[in-house]
Amino acid sequence: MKKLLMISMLLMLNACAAFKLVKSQQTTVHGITLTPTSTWNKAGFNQHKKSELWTKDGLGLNELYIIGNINEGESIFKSHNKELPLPTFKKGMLPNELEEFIKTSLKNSHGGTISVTTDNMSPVELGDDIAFRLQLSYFLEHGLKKSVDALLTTKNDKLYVIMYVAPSMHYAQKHQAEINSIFESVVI
Amino acid sequence: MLRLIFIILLTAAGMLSAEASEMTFAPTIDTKYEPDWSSDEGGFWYKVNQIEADIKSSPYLVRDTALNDYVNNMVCRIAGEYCASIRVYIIDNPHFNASMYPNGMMHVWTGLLLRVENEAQLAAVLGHEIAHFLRAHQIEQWRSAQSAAWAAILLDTGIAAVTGVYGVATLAMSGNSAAFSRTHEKEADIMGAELMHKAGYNPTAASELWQRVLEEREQDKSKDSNWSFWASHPPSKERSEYLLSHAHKLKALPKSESQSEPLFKLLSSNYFKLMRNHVDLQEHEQTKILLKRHSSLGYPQEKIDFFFGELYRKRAQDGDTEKALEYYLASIQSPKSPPQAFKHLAYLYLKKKDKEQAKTHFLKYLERAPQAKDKAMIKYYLKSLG
Repeated sequence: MKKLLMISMLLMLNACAAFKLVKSQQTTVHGITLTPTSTWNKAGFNQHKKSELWTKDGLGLNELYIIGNINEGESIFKSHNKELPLPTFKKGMLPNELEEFIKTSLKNSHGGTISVTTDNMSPVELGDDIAFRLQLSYFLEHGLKKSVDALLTTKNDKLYVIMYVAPSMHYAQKHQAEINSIFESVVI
Repeated sequence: MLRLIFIILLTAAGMLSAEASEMTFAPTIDTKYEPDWSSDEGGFWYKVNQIEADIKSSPYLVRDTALNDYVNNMVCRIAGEYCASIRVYIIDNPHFNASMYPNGMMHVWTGLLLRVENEAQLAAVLGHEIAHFLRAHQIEQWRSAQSAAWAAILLDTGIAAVTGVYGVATLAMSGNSAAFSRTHEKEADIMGAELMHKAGYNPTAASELWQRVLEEREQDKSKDSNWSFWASHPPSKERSEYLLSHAHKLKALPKSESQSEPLFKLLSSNYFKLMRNHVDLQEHEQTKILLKRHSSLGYPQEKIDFFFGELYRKRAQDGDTEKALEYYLASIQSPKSPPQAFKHLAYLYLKKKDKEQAKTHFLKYLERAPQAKDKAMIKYYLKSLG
């Protein structure tokens, strides 16, 4: 019981001191240069050493993952389950493989219990490079639907991902213009 | 029609039960059991009823009426007079599990359905779960909880079981009450085997199932041998042995025709969705073991070939590209092959720099799936291929 209380208190403390303001100016995160047009809140803890997590209204309501410089053999999230490893990036992955890579990363980070559906997938010009935009959705166990809007590209055998995750109801659309603007500003 | 079959089966099961030997363990609840709602057990039921309300609207609930009827009828056949107390929910979760709740709610995960080789093996798991219910193991576990906090965790994990992770008295019970749980597990194994025997199923199937679980685990070299599952369960080898030994003590049943065909027919119509969910885990070694078994169970061959293609393409070890091509090509020989087989073939040809074949297969994919969600991506490639 004491142990549980201590863990809860630590989590609460972590939650209180965990955010830092992100100004609406150009910034570079793990090799991805992007320009938010409004302020965000950066979480002090990360899913991964090569990622940052931003939110507008609070985690769970909207989450912007900025993940870059992912090398061959690395995953995009921190693995917590030895029984269900996360997929790793491989050089030369084509869009269909990257789509599956992202979907399985999301699925397995939820213990393999969710089914992730592709809603749209299209090419995007990113300067001289070609990236692609992937729109996904999945249901949480209690039926809450989440939407994922991701921009993916590879450069010099490294993977770069910006992924916006929010409940499909209200929050996915609420900041769509800002997400579009951020995606358009991306330079690798 | 199903109802008629069910009545015939129940009658047959009743005839068999009259001949059967006495049960080793007797139920500890009666058919209309309800707790005192002001007791701790009443509180436990209240929470579990809430879980049940959630699951009824879960997007992961498999709603195929025929499949649900079939599994429900199997449960009734095994549970006999307790049939009306049990409600089955099939959940699309690719892991191997089933779970039972004190209020009569039973979860059957699709990962279990994908692993059984005959109806009797499924009956073994259903019998095991029904035994947990009849012996009220859940409330004993609840009361054995060392503190209110641990009890809360038990419920939280139960709630998480709406799509998976853990259930109360689940096959994959959390290890904190390991020793206690193992006693219950063994009791449920013995009682489950006797219940399935009474219902006319060969009880050696229970031993066979655990043997398969052990084989799957041993063949999956990507995994640590210290699976948390074993903390709360008798190890598969031990389990398989005592189940076989106990099955041999029960009166031999008359040999009957295979009862599995109708079950596999129903599972076959859901096969692509269920196996897709498993393949998406990218658990390649497990997938390989399952697909090899499925090949002999009558699942649609073009889907099995497709999933073998998926397995080798995603695993991407030396020589896997060629194997993936071979399986996808075998799959597309059938008009019932999934359209995605053409797409993945096209991408594989793209990797091999065979532009003509890539183009041909991208075009066939769009022809088969004109509304594909990734058609903009495919059109981009078609344009770049000229």
